Amino acid sequence: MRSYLPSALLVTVVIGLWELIVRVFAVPAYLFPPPSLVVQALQDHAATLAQHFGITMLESVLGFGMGSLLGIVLATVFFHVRAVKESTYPLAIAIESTPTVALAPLLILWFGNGIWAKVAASALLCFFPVLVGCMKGFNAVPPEAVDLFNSMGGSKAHIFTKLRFPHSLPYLFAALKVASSLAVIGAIVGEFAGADKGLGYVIVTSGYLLETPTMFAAILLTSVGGMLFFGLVALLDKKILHWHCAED
Amino acid sequence: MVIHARQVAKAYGTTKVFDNLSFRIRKGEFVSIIGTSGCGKTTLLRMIGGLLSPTAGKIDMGTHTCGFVFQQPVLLPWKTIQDNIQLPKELGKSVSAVEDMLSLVKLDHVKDKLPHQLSGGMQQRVNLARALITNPGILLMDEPFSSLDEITREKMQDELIRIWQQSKNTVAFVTHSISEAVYLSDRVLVLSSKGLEEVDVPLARPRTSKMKQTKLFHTTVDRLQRVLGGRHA
Repeated sequence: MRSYLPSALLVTVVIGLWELIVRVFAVPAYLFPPPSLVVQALQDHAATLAQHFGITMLESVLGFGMGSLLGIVLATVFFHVRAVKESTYPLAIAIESTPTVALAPLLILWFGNGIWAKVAASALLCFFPVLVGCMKGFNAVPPEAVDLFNSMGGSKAHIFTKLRFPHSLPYLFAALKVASSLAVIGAIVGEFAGADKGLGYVIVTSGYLLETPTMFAAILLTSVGGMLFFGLVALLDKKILHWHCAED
Repeated sequence: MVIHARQVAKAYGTTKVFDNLSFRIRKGEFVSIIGTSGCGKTTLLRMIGGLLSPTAGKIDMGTHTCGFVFQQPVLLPWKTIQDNIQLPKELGKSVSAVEDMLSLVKLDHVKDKLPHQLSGGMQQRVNLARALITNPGILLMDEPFSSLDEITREKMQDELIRIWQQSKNTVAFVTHSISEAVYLSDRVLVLSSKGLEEVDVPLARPRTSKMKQTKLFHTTVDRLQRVLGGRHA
């Protein structure tokens, strides 16, 4: 608990200064609302904000799940079939290098205005770090361990399922943590491109209406959602990889 | 006869490691393989174990199976000590009771711990138990104690002698330590660029650490050093 104290203190000071400066210099609320107004907006629109928050998180979680699964499956295929890796990896890099923001309108066109275009944007952002992390993990197995399995008559399937895969989990989880934050970004980007629900939609519409306190509240919620998601993956990491955490 | 190697050669491309090696290892014998670094000791051991195949010649082992003890313990960090020892079972090998192995290497009290909670010496015992659990006819050991501190190392040598006397395995033991080879073995195979030479160790069994102070021990060490072409020639 003590380790959180300094950052909690800093946040309190920043919020206090923010409130003070906005009030002293009489900054208009539509430009820069004081924290008290943001909290007010959170309270006033609690029900609707919660609904939008739920939608965005659903999109993020689905995108994260699908993107990560795609990354793991692709890494497994790449590892076993060299030809597929050599032909497909450059394509994966090309997709990764195209900004998701640029692709989002296309995804809306293909998948419609509902959640699936946002899920796709989220998955698109997630899959690459998982693919790279997983491939790195598969190759990080010490050659002596492979010798050990060979000396005990272990088959190729044994070596993959009982050695390479469990051994790659720390790499996979490091990638999943990155992906968990990217998933929320993907969902918001998708919502910007066209939506009638979700926090991204709230941010865009409250911008048009100059309801800046609501906008701040929505932005705050995206950040909370991202942190929650990250925390959940980190918790899972600690639970599953207790042998690894203890090793460090 | 357990191992019979005939005119064995190994080369990687045009780089020759060794050629024309012939030797025999008898049943229940403890044989060490020593040699200067890069002479192919480990390569030879891996060939006996079937991890590498010779470029020419043949290594005949009848129906005997091998158990490998590597230089590093190579334990799976997510498995408990007990499950690490039982790994061969997971790979479809028939194994003896894990409890017997645990008590043989004196690790009963840590069977549910994870590898990182054990000292280097204890990890090497796990390594040894994992090889012994399949009841291999031949135990192949590749400098298993070289990463241990000297005190642990001497303790492990005595442990190994005790376990070997109990299990009656045939052992091929690679080491770069001449005194270790003399203390443990019945016979030493010296591998050098000139080929292979065999030196018998005239020390009685059972071995005790006091023997390391005897004249016989030292003359054997000296002899091996001469064969190796060391400074004592």
